[in-house]
Amino acid sequence: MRRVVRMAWPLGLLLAVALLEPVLTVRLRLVDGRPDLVLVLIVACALVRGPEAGAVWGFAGGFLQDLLSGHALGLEAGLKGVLGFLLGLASGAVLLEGILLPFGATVAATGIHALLARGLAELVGVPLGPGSWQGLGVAACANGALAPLAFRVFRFGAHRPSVTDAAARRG
Amino acid sequence: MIATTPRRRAGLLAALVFAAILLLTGQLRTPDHRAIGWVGEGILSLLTPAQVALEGALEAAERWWVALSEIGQLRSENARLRAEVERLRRRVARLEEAQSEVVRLRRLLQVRPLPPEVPRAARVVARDPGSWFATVLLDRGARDGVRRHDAVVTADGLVGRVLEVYPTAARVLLLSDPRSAVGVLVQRTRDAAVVEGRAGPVLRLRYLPRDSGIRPGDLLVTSGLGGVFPRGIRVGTVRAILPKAGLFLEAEVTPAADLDRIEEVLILLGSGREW
Repeated sequence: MRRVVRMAWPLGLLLAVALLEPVLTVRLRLVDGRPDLVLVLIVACALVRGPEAGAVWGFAGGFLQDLLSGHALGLEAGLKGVLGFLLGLASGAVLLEGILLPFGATVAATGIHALLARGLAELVGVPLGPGSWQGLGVAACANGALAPLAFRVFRFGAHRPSVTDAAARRG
Repeated sequence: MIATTPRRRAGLLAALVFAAILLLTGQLRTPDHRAIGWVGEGILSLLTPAQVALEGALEAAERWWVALSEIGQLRSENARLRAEVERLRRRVARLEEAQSEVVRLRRLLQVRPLPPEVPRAARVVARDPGSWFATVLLDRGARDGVRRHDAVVTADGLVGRVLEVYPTAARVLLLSDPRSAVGVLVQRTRDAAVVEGRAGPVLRLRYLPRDSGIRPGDLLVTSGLGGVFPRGIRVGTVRAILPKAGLFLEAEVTPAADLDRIEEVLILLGSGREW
């Protein structure tokens, strides 16, 4: 049961964030760009839990975004699945302490996400707006600012000792 | 968690990429590049009420905060609004009188009446968080009589058309979405053209005859030719004419409605037709 909860809570979190994100976006009037809360969670999930979790939760989070946002289904799912996998490969090599590295990793992931989106849309023929550097910059900074919180949530979830762990340590 | 060896990892990645490409290519032939099927519609029918409830909770919290911080202004504003309501009531009475006159005259002239579009007010509860597409979610759905392709307007002008309908909510494709195309007339010159979205604050006017005498500031209204939008709704104004290239003229258009700040809209029930 504990194992199921441990595996499934990111999905609950992703669902809550994917539902909340479009509602908050109505109220957020940043210049040209908006934070991608699901992307922030996926970066944290991938770097804390590894490539498999990054790919699966990335795909699930992206699919929820596709479904809730009026996109072609599969665009965000594919992008975030691949991005989660690639970031997860660096999970052992990146120090996750502090604020600077989560910020940097999330800003970089936002840029890579934008590049991959353009490539995938061109590949499959989905019309995509031109976007702007200013909007991308605003989105990257907003995502980066939220990253330390998301990393804290995932690190807490990943390292919380279970009852069996505690028993094993005792004896 | 699921796969541990490099080979299984690669297999997992390949499966996810394959699934994404399969989903995407399956929708390419649909007019709006989106087909969620009955499973997707079922999931959205479950999720959209939750989203509408979330919006309601945020709205209530916001209203509570505003009421707390602005209670001093509310009395004077209340008095002003009462006077405004009284003035508008008188105006509505005058307009109703004028409308009945139009009906009588139309009958007299044997002019075919325009289709009866019933306006239904709706609130924007969610917005597409990405910057490449432009859709919003409204709190009215099939239970309120909303149908696919119904036109959506504000007092300033056209906002878009209904893309998907759920039982209690509807998704609107905004004019600024790259999938949006609206048949328009230049009000001054009567030239027909098409306004397309560019996922930004500026729209693009295309397929305009090269000999058109269009100027910046010209007003564009819906032509009614596509059968989706009723005729004569303000779409936007010409911002700049682009350098001539190819067979047609192109221009940049500023939308009449502020698409980034819409909160309440009217859905013109029965205006859209399924082709």
